[in-house]
Formats: sequence, C-alpha cells, structure tokens
Amino acid sequence: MSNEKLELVKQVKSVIAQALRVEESKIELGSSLIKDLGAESIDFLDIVFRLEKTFKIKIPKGELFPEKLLTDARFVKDGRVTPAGIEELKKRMPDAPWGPFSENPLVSNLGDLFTVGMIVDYLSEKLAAAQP
Amino acid sequence: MRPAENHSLGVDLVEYEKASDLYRNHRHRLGTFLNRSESRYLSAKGLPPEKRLAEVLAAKEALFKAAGGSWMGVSGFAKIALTARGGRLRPAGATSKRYRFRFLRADKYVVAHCEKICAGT
Repeated sequence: MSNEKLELVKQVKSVIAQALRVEESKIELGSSLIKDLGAESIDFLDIVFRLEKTFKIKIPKGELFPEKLLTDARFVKDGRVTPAGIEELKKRMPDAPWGPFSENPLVSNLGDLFTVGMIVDYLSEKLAAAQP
Repeated sequence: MRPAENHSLGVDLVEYEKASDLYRNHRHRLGTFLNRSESRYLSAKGLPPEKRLAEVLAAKEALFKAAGGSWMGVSGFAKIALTARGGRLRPAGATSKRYRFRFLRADKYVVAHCEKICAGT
C-alpha cells in the first residue's frame, strides 16, 4: 500500500472513530460500519459530513452508499436485491463481504456490506479524479 | 376483520446526544436533508433545537419504516418530508392523511411511532 493510501486509511479511520465513538484500533478495513462498529442511520449523515469536511469534497447523495440503486425496480423486488441488483452492487463494491448477503439478499441487510474499506476505495477514486 | 396489510407501523429511537453532536458539528449542512418546514420546526420555541432535530430524524425514519422502506440510507432523510403544523410534526403532502405520529420523549432519547391510518379508525 502506498504512503498516500496509508494516510488516507488513517484519516478515514479517524473520521469513523470520531463519528461512531469507537477506538481507532478497533477499526479495520474490513469492518462493517453497522455490524461491527454499531453505526445507525443518523451516523451515516455524520460520516458523510465529516468526510466532506476532512477531504474538502462534496459527496452527492447516493454516491458513497449506493442507495439510489435500491429505488430501481430491476434491482429490488419484494424487499430483496435481485441477481441483477447484486451484480450491479458488486461493480460498485467489489471488496464487500458478499458471501452471507448473496445467500439472503434482503435490502435491510445491505448495510452490513458497507465497510471502512469501501469508504477508502471511494475516496481514493474521488480524490484521484479531483487531482489536476 | 380488517386485512393485516392495512396496518403498518414504524418505530425509531434517536438519542439526544447523537442528534446534539450532529447539530453542533454540522449545523450548516442540515439543509441538505431538512426542508424549510423542518428547519423552522428546529428553531421554534419550547424545546432546544438539538432535541427537535432528534424528533425530526426519528419521525422520518419511523415514517420510512411504516411505509415499508428497507434501507433508509443518507438519501432517505432528504426524501422523507415532514411538515410542522400547529407545532406538531406530520408527514408532508399526500402521506399526511395516511400516517400519524406519536412521540415518547424520555430524558436521553425520543421514540417516534408512525402508524398507518386505516379507514374507519
């Protein structure tokens, strides 16, 4: 991992530690924000605002956490993510822990897939794209 | 007997401390998910804005759940619109006739209870 990426990971862990009031040492790239770190819905607002402030960026709604996809009838049916939806989500979150979710793809369990690493990957791309 | 699908309920709890942190740290960003009526509700007299914010957030999520939503996300807080009439929070627009709120205000948290209004109730 490059020094730049290591610094990014450090900053993201710090943001999450502050937002969720957990010790930084307990935060891993693979930690699920909800399942492992106890994030609730309003914590996602806090995390997004803190990331915007820390990295001086604007995160459009639905860009970091792919919730827009969930309003698409092709991707969600009867509270479950369809196979097409899972494929689409995998493109957005290739490193997410897909195993248990794929077996029981309830939309309500989707939050389990949101990991610290997902935020790092998103920011990595976002910040790289913003560079001149 | 009324069919079960006519009944739906959403409940959400928000701790005042969390809402207070959100208010204190990101006050200038609240407009990204609060409409004018909701923002006005925060600054009304009687309760501190942090507690009112907790009520608004809990109400939005309770309504989202009662309406059958599965994942609130960040966008959900902006999409679910409330209005404050007579100092009371209600769902905005067409949903106002279909859902009603009740609040349980404790020392450290507020619980919003949103119930679908069935014909004849």
